[in-house]
Amino acid sequence: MVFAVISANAGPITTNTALPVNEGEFIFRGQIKYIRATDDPGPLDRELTVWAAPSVLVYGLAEKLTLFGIAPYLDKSMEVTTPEGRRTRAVSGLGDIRVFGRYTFGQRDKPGETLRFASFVGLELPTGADDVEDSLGQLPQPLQLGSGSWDPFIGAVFTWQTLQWEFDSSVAYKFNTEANDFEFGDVASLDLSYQYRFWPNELGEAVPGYLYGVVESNLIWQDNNRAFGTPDLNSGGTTWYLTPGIQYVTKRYIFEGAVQLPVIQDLNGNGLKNDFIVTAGFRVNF
Amino acid sequence: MKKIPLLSLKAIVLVLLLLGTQARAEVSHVSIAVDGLGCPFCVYGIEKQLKNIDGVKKVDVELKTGQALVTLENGASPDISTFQNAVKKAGFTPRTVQITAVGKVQAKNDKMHLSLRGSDEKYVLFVKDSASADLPPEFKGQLLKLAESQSLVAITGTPHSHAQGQSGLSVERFSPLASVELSVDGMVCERCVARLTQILEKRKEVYQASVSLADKRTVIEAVDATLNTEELIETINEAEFSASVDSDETKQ
Amino acid sequence: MNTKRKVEIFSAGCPVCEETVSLVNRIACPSCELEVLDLHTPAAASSAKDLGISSVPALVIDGKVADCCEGRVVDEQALRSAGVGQPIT
Repeated sequence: MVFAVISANAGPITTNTALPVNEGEFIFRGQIKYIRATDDPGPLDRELTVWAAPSVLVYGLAEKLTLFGIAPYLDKSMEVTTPEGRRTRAVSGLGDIRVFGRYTFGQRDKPGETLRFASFVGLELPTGADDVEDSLGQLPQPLQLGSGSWDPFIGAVFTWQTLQWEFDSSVAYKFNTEANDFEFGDVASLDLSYQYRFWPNELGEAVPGYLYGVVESNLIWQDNNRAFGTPDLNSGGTTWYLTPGIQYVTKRYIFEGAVQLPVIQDLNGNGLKNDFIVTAGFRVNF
Repeated sequence: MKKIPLLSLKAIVLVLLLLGTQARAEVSHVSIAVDGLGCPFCVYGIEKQLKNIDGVKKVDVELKTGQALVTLENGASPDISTFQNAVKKAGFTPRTVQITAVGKVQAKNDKMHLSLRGSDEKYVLFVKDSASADLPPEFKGQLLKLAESQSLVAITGTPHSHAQGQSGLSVERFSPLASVELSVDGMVCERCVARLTQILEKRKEVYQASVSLADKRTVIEAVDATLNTEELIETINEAEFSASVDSDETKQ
Repeated sequence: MNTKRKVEIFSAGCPVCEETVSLVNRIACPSCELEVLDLHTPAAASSAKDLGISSVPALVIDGKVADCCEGRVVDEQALRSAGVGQPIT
């Protein structure tokens, strides 16, 4: 199960951004994600439903340095065919927490426009339970709440924002490490986002609320998982999502929603394919 | 030009005599052009940083033009670099800073100065982008008139400092002020003061309203041509206070 | 080899600044290359910031801020001792 690193300050929905956070300011982002994966090419006929509620706290430490912390609440449930018939295996609780810092090393400001380059580095902490059992035994590692391992990740972001539209692109690489004799495959992602303000048409007084139409692209590649050092040939692969969305932005809060639709899923072996991912959320600054 | 009724003329005379008694804002507004501002969510950071500066009463950001307009408290004397740093801390780039200073015009050594009330500060006045450093004749004529009449004027422009503390101010626009002083009855606490100040300053022609609970009066400054004492009294009465022109006939 | 002394004057265009500009113009020698930079333009404003200039008029001779004028009223004596008016030998 892969979650692209998400940002919280004003900007794209499923992509990171290089937009600034005021020194000493907090931003809180709450999201609900619904993931449905039922396309199982193998004999187990797996049907996966995940509700995820990541909470993100952002803090502007200094003019160019921003800190992020993401704590996901997860509810995973998978229906699977066993020798005894269809069974549901489920688990819910806190997943692995991510913390990272983002540093802006390039900035060009013009009236009503900004271009920014930033890079980020972070760590995913093994806070989610990784050894949950049910009547059928220990849940397979991908279904667990956490990976049990300390996984660092790095990336870079580019943002170009004007009063009319915004473009963000982000590359990230996560080094998944071993725990419980299991190692998830590393993840590389390339995300692009384009937001276009279609209301109000003309900018008027002071600070209005903006309604944006959003279209994003998420390209994710994952390496094979390894159990006891041996690669699992039914894991990993490349997925490309096309993500339409909508976003309402005011001075203090943002409301948004998007659907990630897999356009290409080239998964290894019997990898379970995603049907779609629905995201809805809000952000508030204080 | 609108004819000023006799009533307010008397009020103005009264005020000129009482002008020295209250500390007033020398610089009333600071306007900063902010680069890099592209969406509403980012504005909050700038407002928060600017509001934290000592002496700032109100901050209004206009997203379309990227202008942050800061209204200062009475008596505040801002350091321009403080405002520029605030914008930087918010993650943006400050550009031109303009101030609105209130004072009187003086002619000295063939130069026109704005002398700020309540301080020794003076600004050398000029118009940038003009062919020479001399003031355009029509503009100079208007300033000389203001110097002669010693009326209060609010000048908005870009300041710069010279060596030894002297400063220059390039003039974007200016408007002469007129003052009216009214006695106000019915204020019982500081909240009344705040409410009355807000109501008066909401009026388009009111530049600044200083309300005193202890002295039971308010001094209202406005752009000369549009000052109307009767309307101001009516506004105060509608706010459930009772206002009247100060009836003290002071000797000249 | 560049035989001209580059003299940049940061000015805000006001009467006080202009006095210095005309003074420099008057006493500058043939081997001085004069440039007046208006502080109100964004390019000059950021150069001034980079050089640490806080008050004008300010003189920058061959890329270095001349201390004849920073924080002092500029007079002919100070300018001459900073090298303005002296031909490069």
